[in-house]
Amino acid sequence: MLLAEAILNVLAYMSAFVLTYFSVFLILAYLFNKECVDNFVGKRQWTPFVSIIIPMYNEGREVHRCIDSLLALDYPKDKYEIIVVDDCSTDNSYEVVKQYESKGIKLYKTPKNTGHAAGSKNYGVPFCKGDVIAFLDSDSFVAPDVLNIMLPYFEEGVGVVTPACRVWEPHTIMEKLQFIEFEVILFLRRIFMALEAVYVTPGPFSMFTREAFESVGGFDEKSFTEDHEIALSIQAKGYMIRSTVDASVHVIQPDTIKGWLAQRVRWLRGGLYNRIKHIYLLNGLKYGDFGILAIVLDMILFIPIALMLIGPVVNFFLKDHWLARMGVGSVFYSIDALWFIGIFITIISLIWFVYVWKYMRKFTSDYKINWWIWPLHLFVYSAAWGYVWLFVLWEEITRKKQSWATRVEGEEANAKKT
Amino acid sequence: MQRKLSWHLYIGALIITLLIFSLGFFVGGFVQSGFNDGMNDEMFDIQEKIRNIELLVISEDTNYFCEIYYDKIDQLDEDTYNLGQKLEFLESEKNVIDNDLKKQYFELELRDYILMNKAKEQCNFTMPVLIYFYTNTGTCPDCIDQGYEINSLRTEMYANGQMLRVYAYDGSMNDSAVVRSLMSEQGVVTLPSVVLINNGSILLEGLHSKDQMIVELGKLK
Repeated sequence: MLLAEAILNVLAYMSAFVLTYFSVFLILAYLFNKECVDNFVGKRQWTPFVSIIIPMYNEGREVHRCIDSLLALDYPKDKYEIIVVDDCSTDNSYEVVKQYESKGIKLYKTPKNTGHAAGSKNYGVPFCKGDVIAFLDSDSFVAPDVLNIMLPYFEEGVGVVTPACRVWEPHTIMEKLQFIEFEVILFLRRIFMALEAVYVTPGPFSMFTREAFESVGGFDEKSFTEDHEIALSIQAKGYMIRSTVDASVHVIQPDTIKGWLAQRVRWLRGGLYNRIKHIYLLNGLKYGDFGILAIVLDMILFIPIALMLIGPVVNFFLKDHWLARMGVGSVFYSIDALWFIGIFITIISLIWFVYVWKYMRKFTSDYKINWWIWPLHLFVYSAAWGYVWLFVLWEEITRKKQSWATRVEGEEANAKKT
Repeated sequence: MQRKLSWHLYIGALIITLLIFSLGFFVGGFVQSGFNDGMNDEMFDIQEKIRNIELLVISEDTNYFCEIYYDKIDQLDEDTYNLGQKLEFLESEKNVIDNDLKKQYFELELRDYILMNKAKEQCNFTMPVLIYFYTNTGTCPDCIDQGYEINSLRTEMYANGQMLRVYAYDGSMNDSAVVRSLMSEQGVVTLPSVVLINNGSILLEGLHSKDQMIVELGKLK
């Protein structure tokens, strides 16, 4: 029992250290690269031919908005093509897109269901002729100026440019929480870009040079999160990834806890497999900040997650319930070093959060977010992430298969809504 | 692409994190010592109260002693119990073990116990007493459970308008004469052990639930 308590104490201090270190690191990285994070824009002037591939499975209700947004792009019409790959949908997706063929949309159907987004994305590549290839999830849609903002980022050595994925018109609490989350992620991705360490190329409208895409053999069809995997592969090949904050791509996020959970479990599970596959990136000297940030620090963050998962269990068996001890008199008797460090992390997080939010608000000032969503996001939503690992563990034990079906499962609620 | 490694950021973050931790330990230690001082003050207050009542015993003014004792017993019980809880909390939760403070506390409990026996003799005062011998060395998983059972018993009796005087002693403190003599007097050899005293006494060895203790107390009426 003493051993269990000791382990818990060590975990608590290690978690506090990791969280403090990570927070301080990000703030320092921002301060040292402020100019790049705040003001960096692409400068290459070119109008390459762009192929846009839309992988689709049972998105008959959504896909029209996606295609309409691409048809309205502010870019020469003879300089881009739209290719829709239907992965043997069982709804009316194929028929819906068929109606767009008269507007130049190219529609292909896989011979049989590939089972995943990566399969249908790869299937479409041989049909496209662009020097730059973009992929757009069929439930997402883009702002008209997105190509004009993103293409100049393709300077020498750049293999991928990522867009600014934004949650579209957040109404429910879940959507608003994810709206904040996505904006914070966008800001952090800019910091990672400054360190040449971007480790995800979001599914909705990341753009690849054909050379970079083909150098890694396309998307890994075994990965649950091919957009994360390909970023690791492309970085490992030595290409740079650039991230924008103003090339808005609107995404529909799950507005139910069930849908959210299904999506996050897939992200975490896929991310875990990808890290194992690319464990060689741990060679920090060869892969620099990217190797350290994408794999090492990311894995160290498991320590606080382990505390979140193990702590309550150990406490339960020790019968050392915090609430039972409240009767001792004053909660202030619990003040110690850890308490102060916790307070510090909270204050730093709040200041950091307010700063990031004010910064990102420049791009989303027309969206209204209630004030109480902030504390809910910081103290409940962010913490809930740790517990998603329990479901990851369960899916691993039961060897649950991930596929289009499970991916779409999380989006069904939104489909009903829209 | 030539990969860069931003050593200055990693080292800078490490230094700042270490500074934050040092500051945390410094401030935490400072606050903790303030708490210990506060407990010393509380101990002193209780000692003063007991000493004042002891003076009345020495003066052999029985009526006055009984009147004052009845008047002060609630507060004395509450103060002593809370102080014991804080000590136990710091020891088990925060691993702050102050043996001198504990010894002083056990002496205080003993004086309180003797005073109560005096009140029983001189004022026909009746009140059930529970003496609890425990250890926090980690070798006694039942001690934690027994502590909860006793707390629960005391709370329930309070809710029913009855007072239960609880005196807890760390039975593994062999260097405390108070603990040694009390264990020997009550015949305690295993931990946890509970001695229930009312009209007569009974020694309960090992873990006993609240309900079992209520039954045993009933037998001593």
